[in-house]
Amino acid sequence: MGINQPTERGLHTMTQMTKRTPGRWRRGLSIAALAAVIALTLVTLGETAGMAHDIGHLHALLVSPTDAGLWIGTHNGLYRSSDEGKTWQPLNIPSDLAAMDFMSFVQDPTNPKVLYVGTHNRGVVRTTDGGQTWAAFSTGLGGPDVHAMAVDGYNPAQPRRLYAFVMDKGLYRILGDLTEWKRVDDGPSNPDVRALQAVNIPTGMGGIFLYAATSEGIFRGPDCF
Amino acid sequence: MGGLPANKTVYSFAASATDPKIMFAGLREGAFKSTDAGGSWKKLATAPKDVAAIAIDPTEPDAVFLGTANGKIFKSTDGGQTWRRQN
Repeated sequence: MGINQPTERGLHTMTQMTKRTPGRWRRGLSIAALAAVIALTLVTLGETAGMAHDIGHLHALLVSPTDAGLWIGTHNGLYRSSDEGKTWQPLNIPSDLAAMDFMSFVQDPTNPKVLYVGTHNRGVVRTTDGGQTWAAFSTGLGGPDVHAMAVDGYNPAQPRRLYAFVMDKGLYRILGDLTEWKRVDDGPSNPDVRALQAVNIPTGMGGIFLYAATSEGIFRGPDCF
Repeated sequence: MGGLPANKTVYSFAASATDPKIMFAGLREGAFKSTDAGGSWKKLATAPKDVAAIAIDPTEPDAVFLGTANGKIFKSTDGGQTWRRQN
């Protein structure tokens, strides 16, 4: 609701009151109506200000292993909480990386200050300083719509193995020096993937399982490429 | 994968780092828990609906956080049996 609308409506109401009421009530009613307009305007302004801090539609949640801090990805942005979710501080994302939706969060198993976020329309973004600064991390990704990410930190010989599921493109992986994403395969047979996680259950083939939450339940496949 | 509502979207998933057979799944219908690596699932009776995101505290296996689609955060300290609204 715009600020002008309640003012116009208020003026209209006051005109009606002027026609119908005796003279000595006119000013009082006008003041009452004016007060109502001011109150309505303040409410409107309050709602507008509140929206800037509204965390919005939520997509992803991460609990940091080092300080139990919470991180969330939402429709409006990225937020961090240091009081178990009671209050949230927005993170500063550069405008060229600001996404419609921040879909998924993973933390680097070798450095908790390094986080990767999959976005709806900006690929993967990364911070290496605990959320102070962010940069694109999408070289080699087949598309911008990353609905789910996972990290496999369970293999000591290869402690950083990241996965990203790109809508309509499939499953991508990045290893070792983290220079370039490479396509692995189509991913789960249901391509509407909402969440992905490497789970430390041996497949019997030298790797562990990747679990995927989809629009038709949960799928799993080996992470042993 | 018995015990999850059939043909429903699973919006969120989390497996425990300390005991990977313990898993949580979040759906519009509520939150579900498995203790056998996803073979069977039970609905968590007191969890909210519209579970958009769920995560286990890596340092405390019974501590689980979930977020609903409209931004409400809940915490469980008993592996999902009871939940407390955080915000």
